[in-house]
Amino acid sequence: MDHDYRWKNAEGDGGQEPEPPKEEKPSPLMEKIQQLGQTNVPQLSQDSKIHCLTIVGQIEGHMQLPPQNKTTKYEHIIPQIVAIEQNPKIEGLLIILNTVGGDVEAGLAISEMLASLSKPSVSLVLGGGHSIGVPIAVSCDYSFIAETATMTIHPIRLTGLVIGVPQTFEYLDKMQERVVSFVTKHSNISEEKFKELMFDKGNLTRDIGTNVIGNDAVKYGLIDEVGGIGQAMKKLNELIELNKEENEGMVQ
Amino acid sequence: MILYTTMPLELVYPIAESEFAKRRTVNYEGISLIVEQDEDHAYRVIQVLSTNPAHFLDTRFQPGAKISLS
Repeated sequence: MDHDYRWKNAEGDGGQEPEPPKEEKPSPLMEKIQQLGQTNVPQLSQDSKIHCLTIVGQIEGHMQLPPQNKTTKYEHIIPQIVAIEQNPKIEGLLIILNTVGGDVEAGLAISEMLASLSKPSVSLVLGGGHSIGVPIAVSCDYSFIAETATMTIHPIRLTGLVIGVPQTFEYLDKMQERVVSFVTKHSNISEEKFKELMFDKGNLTRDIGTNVIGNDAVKYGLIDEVGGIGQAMKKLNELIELNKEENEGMVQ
Repeated sequence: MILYTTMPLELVYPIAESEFAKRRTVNYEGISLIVEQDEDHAYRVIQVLSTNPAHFLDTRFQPGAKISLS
């Protein structure tokens, strides 16, 4: 796999040999020099045409989680997506998901950013893409799920202050509708099926919802294909080629 | 003790500010990194915040590597 990666990288920067590996421990003098701003510039020109965005742990919302939690922060992700959209050297984006879910609005913000990206994007769910990870997974042009990966589909919950019961219920219902409409718009699952999975009983301990495993996610139309990194990269390269052809057609 | 509540743990037991202060997001040679301060004023890399896969192969920024910030 290392070899495969290098090959792609070499293609990106015009067949240059990758830099020899750096010394294991830079001497204190080296560190001093780096402090003075004498940086090794050629190192930075190593550009890959495919960038990879990993969404791991909890998707953090407006409240900062304690440092021991593994989180994905939208204030990190969103500028990265903007940079990917702007950088002409980047031709495709691979999204790797292994998330338990998290903040609905932050998750939807990332999903909308990915869905509106003009460059080809492929998502791969490894381990888990639960809860708000579902709209992120389906937001890409093509989605993959590992055979052993799972996705939990469950109703939206709200933690915090309840002002009035009918209002809170209506607010939750609207929020849930946003997730349902996003998922059904960006995948092949029907609204009825998605809601059926969402409100199903007896699948999760002390909760309603369904835990969808790899093949089932594809069967329900939520995800496009079962696969791993190899298939995902192949598909992304295909989409990049397709995108290039389309752009060339527009110029003519 | 078992707390039966829908409230998140961090709302029930607020986290000390000092826990958050230890970690910083820095831009080091054009790469965003999450770093944690060590006892001897050096910073240890926790996470590389980059989408460029080449940055993850750079041994200088591997998680656990020590970097010094001016």
